[in-house]
Amino acid sequence: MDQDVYSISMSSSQDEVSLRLARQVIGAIEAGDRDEAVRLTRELERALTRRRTGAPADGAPAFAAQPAVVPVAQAPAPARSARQVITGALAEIGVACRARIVADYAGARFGQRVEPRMLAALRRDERRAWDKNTARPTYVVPALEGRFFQPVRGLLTLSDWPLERRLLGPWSERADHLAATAQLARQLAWLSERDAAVAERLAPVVAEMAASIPGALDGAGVDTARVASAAEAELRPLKERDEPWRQEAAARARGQLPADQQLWGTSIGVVGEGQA
Amino acid sequence: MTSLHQPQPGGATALDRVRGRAPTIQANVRRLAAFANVHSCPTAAVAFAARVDTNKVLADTSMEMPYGQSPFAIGRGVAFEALLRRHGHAELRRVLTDGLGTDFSYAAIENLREGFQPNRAGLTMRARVTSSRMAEIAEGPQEPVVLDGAVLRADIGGLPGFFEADEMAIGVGGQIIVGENKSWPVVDGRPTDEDALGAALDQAATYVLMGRRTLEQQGVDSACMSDSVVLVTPRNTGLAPALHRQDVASRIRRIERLLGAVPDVQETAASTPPSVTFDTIADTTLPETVRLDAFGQVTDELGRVYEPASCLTSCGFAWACRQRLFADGDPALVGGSIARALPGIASLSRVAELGQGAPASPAEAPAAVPLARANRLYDEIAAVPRMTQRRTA
Amino acid sequence: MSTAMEALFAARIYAEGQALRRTTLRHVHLADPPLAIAVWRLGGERFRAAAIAWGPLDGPFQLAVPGEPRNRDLYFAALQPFAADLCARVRRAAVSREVRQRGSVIEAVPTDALQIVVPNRATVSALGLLGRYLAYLSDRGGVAPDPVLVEAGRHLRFYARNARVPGQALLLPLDRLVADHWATLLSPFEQANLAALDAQIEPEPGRHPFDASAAAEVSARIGPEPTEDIDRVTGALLAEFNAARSSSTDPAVVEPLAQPLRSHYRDLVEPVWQLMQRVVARERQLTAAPSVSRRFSADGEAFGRHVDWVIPGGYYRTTDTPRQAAITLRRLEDALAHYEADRAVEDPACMIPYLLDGDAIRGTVASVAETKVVVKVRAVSRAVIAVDSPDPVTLPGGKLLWWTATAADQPWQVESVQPNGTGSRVVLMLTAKPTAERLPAVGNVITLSTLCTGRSGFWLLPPVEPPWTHRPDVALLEGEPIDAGDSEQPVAAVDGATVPDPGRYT
Repeated sequence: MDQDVYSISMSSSQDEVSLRLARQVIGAIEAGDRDEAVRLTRELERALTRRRTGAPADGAPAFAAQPAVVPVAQAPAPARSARQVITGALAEIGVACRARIVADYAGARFGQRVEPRMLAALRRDERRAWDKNTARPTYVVPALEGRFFQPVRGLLTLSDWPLERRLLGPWSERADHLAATAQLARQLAWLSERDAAVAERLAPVVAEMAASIPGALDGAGVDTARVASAAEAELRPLKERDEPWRQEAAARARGQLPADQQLWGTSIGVVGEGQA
Repeated sequence: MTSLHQPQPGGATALDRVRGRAPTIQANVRRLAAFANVHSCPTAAVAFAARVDTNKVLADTSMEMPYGQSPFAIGRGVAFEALLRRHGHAELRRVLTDGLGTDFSYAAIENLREGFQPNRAGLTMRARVTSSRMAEIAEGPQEPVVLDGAVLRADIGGLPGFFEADEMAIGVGGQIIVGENKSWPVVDGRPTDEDALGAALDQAATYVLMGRRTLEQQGVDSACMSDSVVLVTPRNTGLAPALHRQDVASRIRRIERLLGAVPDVQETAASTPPSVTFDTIADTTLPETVRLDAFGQVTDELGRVYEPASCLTSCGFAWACRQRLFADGDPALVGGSIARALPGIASLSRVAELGQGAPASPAEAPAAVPLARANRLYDEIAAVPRMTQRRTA
Repeated sequence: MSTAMEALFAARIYAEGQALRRTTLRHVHLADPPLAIAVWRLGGERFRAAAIAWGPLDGPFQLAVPGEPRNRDLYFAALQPFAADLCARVRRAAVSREVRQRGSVIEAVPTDALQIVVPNRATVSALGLLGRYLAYLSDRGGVAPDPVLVEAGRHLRFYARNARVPGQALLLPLDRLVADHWATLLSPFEQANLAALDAQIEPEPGRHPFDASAAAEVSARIGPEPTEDIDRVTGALLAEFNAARSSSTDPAVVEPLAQPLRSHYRDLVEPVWQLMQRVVARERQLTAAPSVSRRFSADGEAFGRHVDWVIPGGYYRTTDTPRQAAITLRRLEDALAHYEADRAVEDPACMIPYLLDGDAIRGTVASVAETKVVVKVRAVSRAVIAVDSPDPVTLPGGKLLWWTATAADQPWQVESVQPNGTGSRVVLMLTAKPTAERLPAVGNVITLSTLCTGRSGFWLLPPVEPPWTHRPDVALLEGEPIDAGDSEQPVAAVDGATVPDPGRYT
């Protein structure tokens, strides 16, 4: 399909200034001049913002009654807690993922840093909240290894994912890493057209994840289409082995384990000391 | 109006700490029935167990919900009760006689509100008298009896407590029928206020439920407590009373289920850090932002379960919770049925993105497909020229 | 899956800060101008209006304030102008008729029935109760009630009962009108507040709809049931009024003394009136759907039958017989199914939930062909079309679908569904003779759904005697007149602050 090089695409703008800036950004990235690219991206973002809140685009359906041409109040920028940030990031990644990568993605995506000690506190708090029956829609739970269903430190999943997605077999960690990389690459491509600042923060995260995938990276730029297809290519044969293994392990777990162990695993004391 | 402080049974000091100096309520059957609507919310459960008055905690903040009643409505209620009571309960006797087919002219009408101290000792005694009277009634056919001002014991969320009842217990022919007075009229066999009727029937059903437990504790067969309750209401524009019977068996089952699912409040309260208390939130000397922030922290720690219709009608925290949900972008803001249609998606902002075609993660994919489709269809179909309606002053 | 549409609405409104329309057309008739009525009751008194405001919505309102509504003389004196005006408008609207023949029945149907709008559904019930009271007034103290009051009561009762019919427009609660046409962040419970709805749709510039409606909930008072603060003022003014008039009901005495109460209620009605004007003006801007006039014409028939029964002096029962109830229930179910089908067929935006649920398909006509099919003995010509849908279709073969352009006509039958790229190609055959009007053109985008708007077959009316064999031996209570309590002394108002547990009187 289309080459989706990391670029800023103008949806319908005739704005010469923005186009020029965009070309300069791409040039800076290709030249490896990161600081210049960052500076130019900021300028570009300002220009785009000005365009967005100016006169509305022609022929926009705007299927709503607006009193006059005024900037409409956007959704509030939420002051998210560490928990919300992690949960949101993990939902968007969608597979079991290293805590640090989740935090990096969350930092890029929502602009909020999550310190390692916050992650440790989160593990403890989630277990405590579960014990108290606080009735949350979803909890951050550890991934479980697929033989004895013990929790795996450092790999996070969400409790409303089916068991298959939370169990790890011999191929699962690699398969999940590839799937996560592909997903984040696609997310980066989509965001690069809509939110240059976030895309700019996210690109290094994707680059780091893609580093271990042969053929994914080429030079200094992040080519999202290339990353995604390389990751998926490596993922395909792995999945053929991983999926059946996961199904079988999940069936075993459902047969053997009570409900709370299906979420938290069989080991006591690794996650949460709060067992009254 | 802050009411007499009701010391908690079992020395639940954690709940005392959680309550702090927040305004309190007297526990009664009416409040218990309302609480059943929000039973799954840990904040509501802890507040109820601590006897905190959710209507008054947020007084003088922008999140305070209106809760008072018109003085004319209250006046009707007071007058209707007085009418039933006048001259030795003459009207009450007449309406019960006409409606239940038994002569109540010589029935013993006992009001347990009089003659007991308004403190814990008094409540305990009233509860004891209530349970022995009810057992007596169940024993066998005697003269009909009406018991007003009963106090029933119940275990809610693992915490025992006493609940006063507005309702009457009518003993006739070995059966106990719960009776409820309301001052809105029933016309042509239909109530003139459906919502109020539902609330009244829920209250009566709660009374039946608790009454049955009281009887069972004494080894008496609780089937003598009838599934159908009695409403005494005016029958026309004035206050002349008439009686209507209504079956509440399904309400009893529902409330039993709800109250049985209340989380264990003592454990919940005990496992919260000392910073979790309604004291700060209720402190009217503090600035609003401090109080509302404290509310957010307390409800984050305890947990919130928000469902618009139940919360807005039963809990004084509803607006404040709704505001938090909006700030978080929580899909539950628009109701549980919609939030449940979005498994795997964390926030309304993300739902909007997925609608616009953002790549969905494997976890988000099932819910994301119809969202993207709905968005595409809407944008395709809804191509209507923008209306230019000026906002009139 | 139409929850997907609701979820999407909520998310977009949240993120973009604008309410969204659910429809491209208006599905209810709006008169120009309608008669508007706003009511404020006396707290807890289901039959007593402390104030009634009425008038054509494009002008100022008239206000009736009895002062002490629990006093029969004052109440009737105040209601009389309202009742007289209502009856006059009803009669006027019933005059111009057109003659219509259905089968062998010839009817004269009013062409422009009187439409009444009210702020919310609670006002509909309030008017219904007021009608119940006025229509069955008895003689008190040997004085017959003014016949115009009784007639007005009958009209109000008819309007309130008719309001249950889905799609009717005779008595239109504006909260329902707005909620049916707009998506907001308000749950159904919160939508009962017209000011909150309006604030979500047109918040102040720069303010998020959520914040605007939360602010409206705090400050808006719409009625008919007054809040505590409103009635505290009423209580004080009423006490003064009663003391000053000291049981006189002479209009010359009472009229000037009632001024403070009049201006109290005028201030309460004014914002409600403006709100109703704003809401109606906004919704009138949308083009009406084609079936709106048909439905309003059906309303006109009901209106005509009511007027023809009541004006010469006919009575209505206070409750339905079982047979009447069964017929009514069936009619209401039919009307609802019909109304929903009309909406979705005429308005593409209303079809979206059906598309999402898989009960409709939308796509481009790839080909139109004719083929011969053997029906019984003869070979007849049948049309076959192929529709390319961009979304996957999961309908079984044999399923009947109606093209929205011919939804009252014969359906198409699904012959096959094949995957086609990311979507499907659906082949359908028309189950009737292929005429030009029944066939779409190649290249057009069409929608087919399980909804048809043709008249469903006649159903048998239930037998005259209800079928249950045993009836309880309950003697019917002798109906006491609804206004028997009018002779009682009004009770004193009691402020909630003086009572230990005001909640027990809800």
